[in-house]
Amino acid sequence: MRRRPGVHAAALVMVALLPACAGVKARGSPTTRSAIPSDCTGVDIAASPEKITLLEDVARTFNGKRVQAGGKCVFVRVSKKSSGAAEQSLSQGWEESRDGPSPNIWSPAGGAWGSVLDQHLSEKGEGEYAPTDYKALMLTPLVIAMPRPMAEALGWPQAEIGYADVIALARDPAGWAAKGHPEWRPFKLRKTNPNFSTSGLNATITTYYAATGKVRGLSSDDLGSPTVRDFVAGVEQSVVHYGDTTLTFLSNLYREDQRGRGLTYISAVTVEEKSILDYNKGDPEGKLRPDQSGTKPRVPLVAIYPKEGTLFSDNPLFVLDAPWNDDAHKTAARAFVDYVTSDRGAQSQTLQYGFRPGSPDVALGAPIDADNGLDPKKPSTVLEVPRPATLARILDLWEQTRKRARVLLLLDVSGSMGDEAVARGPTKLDLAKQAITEGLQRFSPGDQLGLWVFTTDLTGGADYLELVPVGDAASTSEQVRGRVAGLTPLNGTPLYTATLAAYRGMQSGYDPQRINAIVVLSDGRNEDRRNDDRAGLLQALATTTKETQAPVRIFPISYGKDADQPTLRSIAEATDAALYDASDAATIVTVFQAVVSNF
Amino acid sequence: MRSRLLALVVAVALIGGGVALRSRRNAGSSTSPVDSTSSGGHASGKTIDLLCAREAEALCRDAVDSFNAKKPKVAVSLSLGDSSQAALDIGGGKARPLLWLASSAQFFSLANAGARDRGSREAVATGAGDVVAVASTPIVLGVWSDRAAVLSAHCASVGVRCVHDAAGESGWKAIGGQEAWGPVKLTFADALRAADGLLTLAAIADTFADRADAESTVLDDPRFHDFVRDLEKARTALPGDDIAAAFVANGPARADAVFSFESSLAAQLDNGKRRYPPDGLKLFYPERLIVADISLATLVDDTTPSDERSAAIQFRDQMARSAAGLAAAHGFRSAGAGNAAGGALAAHAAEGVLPDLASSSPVPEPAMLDGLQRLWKEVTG
Repeated sequence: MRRRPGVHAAALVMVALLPACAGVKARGSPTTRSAIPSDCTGVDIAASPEKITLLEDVARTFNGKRVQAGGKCVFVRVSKKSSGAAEQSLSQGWEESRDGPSPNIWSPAGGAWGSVLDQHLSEKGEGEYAPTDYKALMLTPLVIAMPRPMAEALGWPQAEIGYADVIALARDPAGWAAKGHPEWRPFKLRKTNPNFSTSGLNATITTYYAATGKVRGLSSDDLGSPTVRDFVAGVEQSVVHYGDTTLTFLSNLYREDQRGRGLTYISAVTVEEKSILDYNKGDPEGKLRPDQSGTKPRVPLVAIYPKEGTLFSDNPLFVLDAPWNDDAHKTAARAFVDYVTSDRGAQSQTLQYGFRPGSPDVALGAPIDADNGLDPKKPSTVLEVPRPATLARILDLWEQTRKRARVLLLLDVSGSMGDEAVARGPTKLDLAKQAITEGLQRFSPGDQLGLWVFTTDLTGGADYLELVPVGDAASTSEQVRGRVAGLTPLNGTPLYTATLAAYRGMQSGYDPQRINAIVVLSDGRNEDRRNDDRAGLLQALATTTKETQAPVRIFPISYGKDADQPTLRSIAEATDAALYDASDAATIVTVFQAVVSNF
Repeated sequence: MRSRLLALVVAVALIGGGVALRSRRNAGSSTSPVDSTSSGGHASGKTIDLLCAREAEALCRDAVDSFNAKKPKVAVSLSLGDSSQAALDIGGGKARPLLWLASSAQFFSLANAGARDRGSREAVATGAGDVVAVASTPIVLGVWSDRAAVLSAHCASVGVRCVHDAAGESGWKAIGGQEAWGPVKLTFADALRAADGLLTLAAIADTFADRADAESTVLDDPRFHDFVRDLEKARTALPGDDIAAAFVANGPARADAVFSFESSLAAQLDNGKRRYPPDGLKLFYPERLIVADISLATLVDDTTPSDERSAAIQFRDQMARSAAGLAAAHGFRSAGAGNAAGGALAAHAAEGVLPDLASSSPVPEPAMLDGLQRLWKEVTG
């Protein structure tokens, strides 16, 4: 958005002004919180996204009961924090300005995250935060979700299907043609980033099990063999892109399904059983309550319970042994844990939300049933959760074996980026610089990275400028850091022209061995008088994406309250990617990390 | 230049602000082995604490409610804790409940040994008449019915050795089960954290030695270490402080068999049928039975006010009178000879509950319990 017309393009090359801003912290909380009644002890819970609605419901009921502990009532507040992101924040130092309230209870999707956290803390010489004698709220097994016709093509429901079958198909160059369905094209396996997502972590563990042929006793020694590493790298190579949550894949699949194209978007994705239930009732993001439903998909998903075994997400309730969690808060936190794990009403609610209750008092049944593509009697066996040191090693190795990325950062430097992100605080551009600087740490040598900026009236009337050509991140990430630091806000927002140019540029250098993607960060609407063709842009992107063998994904970040979120969403959808919402500009650092999780 | 300086000043100020926003509630991180779960509550406001073994929670709750219903001058409040941990805390002077209902009277001895080790007088009164034997319950094996049928066909008797040997095979298929069941997976509580885990090790020791009341010399036998190590490798750890409940909630996919107190598993038999119909799980009695003698003792000392001391003794006496009824109502056996099953327990004969225990061993002496815990620590690394 235009704010300061007439500033010369040379100003883009300002240097050394803002390294200090790398330390600027976003203010404000990522979540809206209720005030704690003065006569109560407040208990903050950081919970993984898929159970937020449930926990909010349960917390509301609990708070209404005014349960007493330690002579005071207990008041619970729930914040959303993906499991991996919470683990990283806890192990590296929880910052309330960035991460939300310091949690008294941490509820990631799976207990394995507690082991990873304690391992990382012990490597730093710090005490453990996540007690091993935690209570589990509820269970949900990790399953392979497949569109029903595809599962049937593999022999479902009679045949026992395993990870090995799926991985073999994903690595087969013939794709679905090998199973008599060339119209479904390549076998598309979707997988999330194990540093963020529990299903991603579990899927990575199961890949290692498949590689070794083991079902238990996976050790660090097993992970290093060349055969195992080649196998795992081969699986990663078949991934289209990663992500911080499986809900992105399911949302995209749902959209494509409504257009009659679901079967070419996805072949299989590892998700929690509960997500299949949500998807099949028309709620791919799992936001609805049990008594609500959306438009059902044309092609439902079914759950494949892998024959080799799988892993359970047991939704632990860790009352953290963290420095900020004093005895009074622990006592209050345990009162909530006791309530939610033993109260029959609360436990029955977990079933209605599609989880398997952690209390044995509640029988399994609808909605976990065949009508929803699920089987309460399965899985028949599980894989053993590796020991903490092995888990940590798996995450280390993933950095080496993951599919490499080729990413162009396309940054809006229009005048409005100079507006304050929060009242009397840093500008949006300042925070964007911090976000990019921190996000760069996630790129490794072998990735490729470049930087373009866009605004109107650049030198020679250009609408965008290549500041760092796409090249090996070993050298370009430093260049990007330096160039970003010197940026300053300029003129208008030529969103359409810049986006299409970046897309074509990335397509021309497409690398089939990498995830090819553009991250567009924009805070405004297109205001380029020479190109106002929104429909043309979207048509070009969508047509190329469907027809090309060289797909480039565009991940837009809708930044600040004035961004053109509908258009940015359409750009993401046209390229089978995802929109990231940073309309609260203070959240940009966290949001940018989530975007980078795709690579 | 001016704007650059201003930007730097603003940035530095914001960094400072960011640091200031990192407010954390600082406090000690000590944890209590005892979870306060309910309070007797009383008009006078004076209460004494009953520390109750977790597996006997329902029994204790009944006893406390019954006592407090009579409006005594001093009421009893209930808290829960694992007996082995409680023995450490009481022996170490970290906890001082006036009443303690433990999984076995041996834990009283363990606590007293701890107190002696630190030069203090004994913490628990264990003289004649001081300890009330309330109920008993053996360590038993619960197995999902379909798996139980396979084990029954494969082994002469289903117990510790059967499970040990089956777990050593390549998987269920190798012993006549379904391939889909994967490897034979066993669970029992952590012997460092839960009395039933520790007493499971005692039953394993007796089985390995092939005699009741195995002596501590078995702890020096490397073959016994290997035997325990084998079982630990087949063990799946489950979350929570009630291994029997966790076993049923997690289902046969996560664990095929569980060792725990008979009373705890009996409480889950109906849940097992509802959760995994139609048959749920079956109970088996290990070849060498260890029976927990659920016992109540008082910890009164010279500094205890007389009204509290009196209340503790009144509660103990009431418990002695009502023990048989409480045991029968809550899935325990009587404390007397033969350990007869009655009430809730007797109704589960179809699931394998035996009416009487032909022969059994008491809980081992503290030295043996201590040795088993050391071994477990070594095995689990």
